[in-house]
Amino acid sequence: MIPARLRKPALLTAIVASVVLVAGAYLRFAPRRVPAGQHALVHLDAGNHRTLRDDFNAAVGGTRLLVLLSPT
Amino acid sequence: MRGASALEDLLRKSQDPSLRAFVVWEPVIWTDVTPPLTSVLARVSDRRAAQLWDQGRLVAADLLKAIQADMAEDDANRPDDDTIVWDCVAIYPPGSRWEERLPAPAFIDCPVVRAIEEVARRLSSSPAAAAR
Repeated sequence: MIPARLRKPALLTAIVASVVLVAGAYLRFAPRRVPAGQHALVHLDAGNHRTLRDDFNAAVGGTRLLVLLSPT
Repeated sequence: MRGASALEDLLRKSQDPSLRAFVVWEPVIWTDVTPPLTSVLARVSDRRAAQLWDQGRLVAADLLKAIQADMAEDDANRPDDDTIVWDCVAIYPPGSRWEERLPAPAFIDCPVVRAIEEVARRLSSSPAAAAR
């Protein structure tokens, strides 16, 4: 049994923990779909870093913009 | 986020079918723990764009090296090795190839929302002018 004076803090802690868990699960598993007509989102790492270079060079006939952004 | 919207506006106004935009999302602040959600990716909807998630900031490191290599070592504006290149837009003119290393861009500025007007001006000129 939880003493009466601790029930409220315990309930609040449980609610906050639940919200954090749900938000974390959403961020982890939510879909990452690019708009229609674009290639799927590429997850760059040392192993496929060359992908960007190949795509960059494949478009050598035109102007290319390289834009670096933070998702939040 | 405003940078992505500014880029989308620019692409919408540009009629150049050969233009390509490589949008590299990278973690910079503590909230950037996961790749961008669909709602974020939707901010750049143009078909000429390719979107990438760069957890290790590999592209930022490549771009930093390219910028540093293009500047004199005693240049006061030369970025330090620990600089994180983000919220920036770089222009590469036709013919510019990524060989061993990413070449230095013809133009780069940050933040995107402020630089986009100058990018649009350069794109509206001839492709060669984008390099100036």
